[in-house]
Amino acid sequence: MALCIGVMGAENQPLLIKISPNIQDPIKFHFMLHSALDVVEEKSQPLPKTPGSISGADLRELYLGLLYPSSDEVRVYGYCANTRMKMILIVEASNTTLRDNEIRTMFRRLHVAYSNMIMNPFYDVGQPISSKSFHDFVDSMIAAFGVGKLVNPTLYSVEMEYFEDVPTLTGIRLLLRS
Amino acid sequence: MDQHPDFKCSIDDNSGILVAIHVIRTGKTPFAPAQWEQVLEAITRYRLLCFENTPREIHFRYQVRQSCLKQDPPGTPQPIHRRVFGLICLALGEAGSDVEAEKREILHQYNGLLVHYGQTVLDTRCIVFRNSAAETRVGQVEEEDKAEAGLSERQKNGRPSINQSTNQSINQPINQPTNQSTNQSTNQSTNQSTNQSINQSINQSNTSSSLNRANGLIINQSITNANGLGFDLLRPVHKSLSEANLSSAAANSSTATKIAKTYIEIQIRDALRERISQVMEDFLLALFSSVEAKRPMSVPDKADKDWKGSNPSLDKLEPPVKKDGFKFDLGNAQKKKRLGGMRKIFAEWLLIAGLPYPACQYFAQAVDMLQSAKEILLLAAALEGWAAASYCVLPAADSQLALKLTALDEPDRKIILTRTKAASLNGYLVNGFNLHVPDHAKDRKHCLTSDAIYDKLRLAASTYSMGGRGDLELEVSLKLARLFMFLGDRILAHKGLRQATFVKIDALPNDSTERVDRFLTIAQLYEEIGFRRQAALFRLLAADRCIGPGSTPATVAEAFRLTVRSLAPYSLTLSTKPTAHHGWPELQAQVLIKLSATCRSQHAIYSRLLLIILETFSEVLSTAEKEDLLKSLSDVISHHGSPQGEVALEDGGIALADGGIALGVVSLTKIPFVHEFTPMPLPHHLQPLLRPKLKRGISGPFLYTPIKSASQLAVKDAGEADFMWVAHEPCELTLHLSNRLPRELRVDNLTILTGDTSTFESARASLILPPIIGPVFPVVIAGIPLEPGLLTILGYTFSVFGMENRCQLTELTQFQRNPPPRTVRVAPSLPQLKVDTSWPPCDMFVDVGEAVVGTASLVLYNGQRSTCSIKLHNIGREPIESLSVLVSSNDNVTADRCISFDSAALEAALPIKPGDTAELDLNVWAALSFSGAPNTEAASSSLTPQPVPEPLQFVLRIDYSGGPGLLENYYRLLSVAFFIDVIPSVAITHWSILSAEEPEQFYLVIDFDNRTDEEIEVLYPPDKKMLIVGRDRARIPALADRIPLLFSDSLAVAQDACRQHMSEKIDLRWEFVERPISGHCWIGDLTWDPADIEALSLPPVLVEFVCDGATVVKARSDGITVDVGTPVELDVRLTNRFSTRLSGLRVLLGFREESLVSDEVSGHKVALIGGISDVVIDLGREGNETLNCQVVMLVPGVFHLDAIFELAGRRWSVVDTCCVTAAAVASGTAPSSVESSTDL
Repeated sequence: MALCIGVMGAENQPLLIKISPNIQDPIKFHFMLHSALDVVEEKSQPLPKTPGSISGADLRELYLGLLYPSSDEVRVYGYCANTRMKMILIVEASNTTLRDNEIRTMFRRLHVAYSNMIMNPFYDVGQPISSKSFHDFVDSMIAAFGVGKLVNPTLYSVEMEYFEDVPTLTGIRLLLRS
Repeated sequence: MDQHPDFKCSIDDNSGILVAIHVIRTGKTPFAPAQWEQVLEAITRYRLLCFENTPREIHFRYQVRQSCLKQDPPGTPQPIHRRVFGLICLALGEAGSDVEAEKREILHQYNGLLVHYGQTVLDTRCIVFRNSAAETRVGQVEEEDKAEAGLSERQKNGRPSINQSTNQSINQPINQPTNQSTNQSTNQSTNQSTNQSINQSINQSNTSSSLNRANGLIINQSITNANGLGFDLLRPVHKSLSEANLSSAAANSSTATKIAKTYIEIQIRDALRERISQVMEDFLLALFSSVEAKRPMSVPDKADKDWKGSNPSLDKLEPPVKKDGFKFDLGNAQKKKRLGGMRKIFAEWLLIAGLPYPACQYFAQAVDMLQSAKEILLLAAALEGWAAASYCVLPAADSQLALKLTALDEPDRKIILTRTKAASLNGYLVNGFNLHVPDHAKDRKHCLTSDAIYDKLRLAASTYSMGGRGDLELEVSLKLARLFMFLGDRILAHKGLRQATFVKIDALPNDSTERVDRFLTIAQLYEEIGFRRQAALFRLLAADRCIGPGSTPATVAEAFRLTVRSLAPYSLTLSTKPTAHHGWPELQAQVLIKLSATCRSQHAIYSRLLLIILETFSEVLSTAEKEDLLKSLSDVISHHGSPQGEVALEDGGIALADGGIALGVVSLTKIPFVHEFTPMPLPHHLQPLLRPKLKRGISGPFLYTPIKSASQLAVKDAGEADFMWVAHEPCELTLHLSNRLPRELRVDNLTILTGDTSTFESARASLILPPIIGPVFPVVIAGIPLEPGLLTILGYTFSVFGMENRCQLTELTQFQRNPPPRTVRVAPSLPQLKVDTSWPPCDMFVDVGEAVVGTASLVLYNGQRSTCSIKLHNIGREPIESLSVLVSSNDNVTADRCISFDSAALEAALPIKPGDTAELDLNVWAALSFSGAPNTEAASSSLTPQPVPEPLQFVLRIDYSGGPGLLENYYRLLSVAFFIDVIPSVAITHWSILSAEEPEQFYLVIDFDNRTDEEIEVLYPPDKKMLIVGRDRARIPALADRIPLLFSDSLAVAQDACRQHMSEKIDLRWEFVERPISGHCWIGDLTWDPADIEALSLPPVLVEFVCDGATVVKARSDGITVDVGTPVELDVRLTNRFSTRLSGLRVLLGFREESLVSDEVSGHKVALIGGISDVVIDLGREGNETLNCQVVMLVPGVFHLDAIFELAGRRWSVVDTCCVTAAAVASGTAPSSVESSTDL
């Protein structure tokens, strides 16, 4: 199961965040997506101009691949369109059925759906997406990609037992990496 | 086992000779931070030892943090780069203390350190700084320049500084320290804090100088000896020996005095730094020579062989192979382990000795061997070393990197060793190191590329992890990150950092700050590579660690600082109001919640932050979170009150680099949330109306022009309401509130904010909003506009949580799309009218199409009359000076017929003063149609049907004005609706016309149908009555005058004229016999066919018959009597009744015999002489014409002379107007002939 799909606009503002309904603590996925934007930005830098090419951006592949080392508990993939629209997909690392190619296809389909959505003349580009069909599509994508057991993945391997006593802090729960 | 990782490590550490710096603390005063930095800077100035004309470089690494100086457990091979080869001890002598005792203390601690590092340390120094007060130098202080004044300031604060007296000699007499100290003690006793010039002196135990060696400084004696005795004796300092020496040194007071002689005082700051540098240079050269001396020159190629020579430091790695007696057959793995281990050690020695190329080669071999030997920790170390060695040679292959390094080159930090200098220092460089690097060593075969370095370091990290050395894994990850950060590959650096976050370190004490440090380091590194969001995240994590249980105010302050620093990447600033539209609201809310948790002790800031969070992010917060925040908020406010105005951070131990924060006033626009803000129009009857001004001529040359003038185009302001309020009269605004918080919300003093507060007086409302899920909660706020004109409505104010709030409509996002009216026009004062009617109000709802203030209803029989008395009370403040009443109905004809009032009386009552009352009588005649179909037999025989009331509806509109409003053409309109249910009384089922006896009259024959169950008498002209019992019918003839109809009128007009005439002239009434109820029948809607109209219309011509010149025969007289056969003169006088000219009027005269039915009388009975029986004449306006003729009756009888007029296709007959009776003559003359002829 894809744990989370995030679509961010050119200004890195969230357009649509979908988190698998099994997730206990969705806010940490927000943190994950937000911090992963750094890597997306870094990876989506236009390539330096090479002789013979018109622009470096043309050569850049939209699919950015894995954003974090593969040793993490979740795998975070990135995709950045030429309009700087960013998509981030988080899947369980234990889900070995998902190959790079499938992730790539998934992103492409998402991109197509996004393009269809943006054709709506009433949609204000850069605003949170409210299109029902796009929501449904992303929902189906989250539901479709396999079935996972990991319901509460960890952000970091450091146990955060101290947090329990702080009532207003519902933020990140850092769990142990096994 | 202490596993505290070194967070400042970098890959360069692997190629540096480690020098530990220790502080020996004798007194209570530690180094002042600024001072400490200066000293440290001076001490660690030299990082690099270069050899002239060779690429060989020796790196030195200084480590201050003792926790990072790892002492590996015995039996564990410690990598060379982590062995402490050099030791620098720093001591700060306290002014005024016993110098001797202090020295002993220093020596004691120094010895302890020597013992601690005894296994590895090769050279050491102890540098003692001393603060000394000197009265004698006061004179020199005066000579100091102005920069010194600042220093003097600092002295007053108790901080020691370095006196810059220039005329002091560097080398003091040996006995000076003693004098100095006595001076200090006396000085301190008298003048401790004022004008104390503190001199810092450096006391150095310099074992290396030949001068001091002669003194036999015992501290370093063993090492001095080792140095002095040359290579053969280069053995590790044995513990026992070292201890023995040191203890003797500490015990021997005579040697202590000797040490005192070696103290050198330096009072000049620059000179001090120079001196330290010089000392350090000496030290580093000596250290290097010792290392070089200790470095093995080759590595054994067989596992059972030991190092060549007897290298004592290498012996410690593992017990040497025992060769006595029987031979140990090492397993293959063991052999490889040993060989690999030795190669690794050898390579590490090469690396710190500045020979990276061969180091790469040996590291490669070591990795190879150790991999197969499955020696995890050694392998990891070898991998790490390999990567470090490869990095050292990377610039040689990468020109860009080399350029970058050159740019970073700091010549100041280098010791450049020339050949001559080396020769002059021959005493140290005893090892005879070769300045030349062998050419074969530049083989790049084993050197790694940057990608390979990454792989090896990753491998090393995971291998350390397997070996359970989390600290080392963490260090390798950090090294990896820093390395690639330097190389410019951010992604790889990021991966390294990511790796570092996952390292788990066992056996750390609970109170360790390791995790905070780790997160901070990672955050710092992320920031350096430009990953602001990651950096912010890790700062937050670090902050979270700081405020766990057992947190102190200091850690909480630290957490606050860290959180504040991480605000920017979340698009948050504390200086301006956060907006949910930029950034990531979910995260912003969380970050602010974290921030609030770190400043709980700052009540004002805390509550303000909570308010900001609740206000801005209530959409993204969960109910539980909101509940928590509200609870905290109410706690804070109940204990400490609500913050007012701008709140700034109190100095509660939190000190920020940027001077703290201040939070401005938050205006709560969503607590409570106002969905709708609507100025309400006044009640319909109170709305002021403006009479349209008469147009002063037409502006253009055309009657209609599409060109509009500017004044016409000046449309109303878009924000102006389409209704008006009236000055000094209450008006209302409706607010729809909702509470999105999960708690009851108390809103006080909700009121309206207007542009000019003096023109509006607003009421204040206080309410308690139920918690969330509450639907829209409408609140009406009243106010009174005080002045006519344009009133600007800015927004609303209220107070929640004890805080005053002003919400401007323009700032509220919910009103951006559909803004409420911003201005309302206020009309001048107008009177107010209240209307009472004498009729009861209508008891059911009827839509009359307009707003009415009241209703009145009554039930009347058809034709019945009634009067309604209407009382008009002036309840306003202004007199009613103009008033007009208008009746409006769907059927205005009926209304006009049925309703009437005396408007003149009303006008006479004006003006109506405030509080006065005027009366208006409304006369109502329920005159609906009386005509109806006759009741059939079936209907009449069935049960009596209930009379179906027919409604008569109308609205009485009263428009009135007065006072200032009248002057500006304002008025008010008040409407009262009247409902009259009309029930049938009698009905006219059939009607016809009969000629009356008089030619100018006719009979209207009407069949009345009594539709009631009671007896009704119908009264009809002329003064006749007819009693009709209930449900019965009767026919009555009503006599009426003919109707003068214009001959030119069309049928429809004629019909209308007939109806009107009849309804006016024919008075048909009915009255109940039993009850005093009566009514008038209205017959204005009876229909007439042309024949009827002809019958009832008055002929246009008045016909008079004149007999014998004078006698005018009038109608209904007996007529004239003539004898048969006698001619009679008869004039027919025709007079035009109308005021129009009758041209082409055909007049037909003819006799009719009374007894006969036939029309015309044959010529043999009557002869009309004169030729006028059929003439066409013209009659002028009111003109007359006389036709002369003679009539001869030929037979006796009664004849009527009829006149028939035809004009424009219409025909009137005037009958029975002239009756001629022919009598037979008694004598037998002519009449007999007539009679005979009659007989014939």
